[in-house]
Amino acid sequence: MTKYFEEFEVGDVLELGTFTFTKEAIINFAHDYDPQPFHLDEELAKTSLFEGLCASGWHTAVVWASLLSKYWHEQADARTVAGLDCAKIGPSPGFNNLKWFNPVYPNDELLYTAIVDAKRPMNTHPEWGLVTFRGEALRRDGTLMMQFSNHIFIERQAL
Amino acid sequence: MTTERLHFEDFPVGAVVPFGDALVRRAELIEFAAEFEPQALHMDDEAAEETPLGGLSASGWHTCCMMMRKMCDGFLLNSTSLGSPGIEDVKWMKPVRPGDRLHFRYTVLEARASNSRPDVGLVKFLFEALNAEDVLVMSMATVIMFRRRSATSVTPALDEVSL
Repeated sequence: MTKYFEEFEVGDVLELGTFTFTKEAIINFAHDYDPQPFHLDEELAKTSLFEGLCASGWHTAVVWASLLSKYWHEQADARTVAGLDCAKIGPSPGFNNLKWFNPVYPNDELLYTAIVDAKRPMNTHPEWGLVTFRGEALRRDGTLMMQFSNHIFIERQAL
Repeated sequence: MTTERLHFEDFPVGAVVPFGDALVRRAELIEFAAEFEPQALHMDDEAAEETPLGGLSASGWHTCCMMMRKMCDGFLLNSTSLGSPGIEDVKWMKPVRPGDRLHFRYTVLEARASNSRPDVGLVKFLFEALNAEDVLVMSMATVIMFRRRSATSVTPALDEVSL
């Protein structure tokens, strides 16, 4: 639940917060979903292209989704307190141009943002608009670690 | 020795290869959502019925992760994969429901040698997840780097990675 499609402006930056990739979290995620040696085994990872244990790219991306969900919940709470209605969040048809620029190593802390890159009303479903968010994760030193475009349906204000 | 592992040359353009299937268990669907995408659509039957998907559905990210795991089990762990620089495109086409049995396949779209590293080849895949009715529920286009069999002696250090 969030603000309405009409209230999103191209260029808006949603600060989603930070996540620290502990060695334990990296290995746990890899064990379940991406058990390649460079995400799972410190010794084997040393001889990989990454030269050390690093997080699955899916882990880096999924954390963005989890922080965005947390952001929606916080925004819903704030709007409720302020006496404002909340827009429904619809499904996402997908994402594209996901780039992992650098490996994420144990204890890297990433800062996550979602930037509104584009928005368009849906002619076929007038109650929904499609918002394109540019998801980004930056390391503490400002290095861009991951970037992609995610598309999400957001409810329009009733006419 | 590493000769049995899949190398760049083992992914010819046009190859279509199934690589496993997975039952979408209700408890796992909700557990993933609770950890990574805690929204009613993925966690709460009644609330999910009110959404455009009309019922409880897996997080699209969960479907990606399920497919990634099957990619590992199905061929990546028996390959010279060096990882991926990113994902070109993911489409979530149909909702994935509790109890669905998904099956997965890849199609090799392109294959070329790396410009900067002659011992590495880049393979562009289309990965697809289909449900029991053979309806496509998700597609993913991505490039994965593999070692080239013809150039395995160029970087001997990487030969020490045993999968």
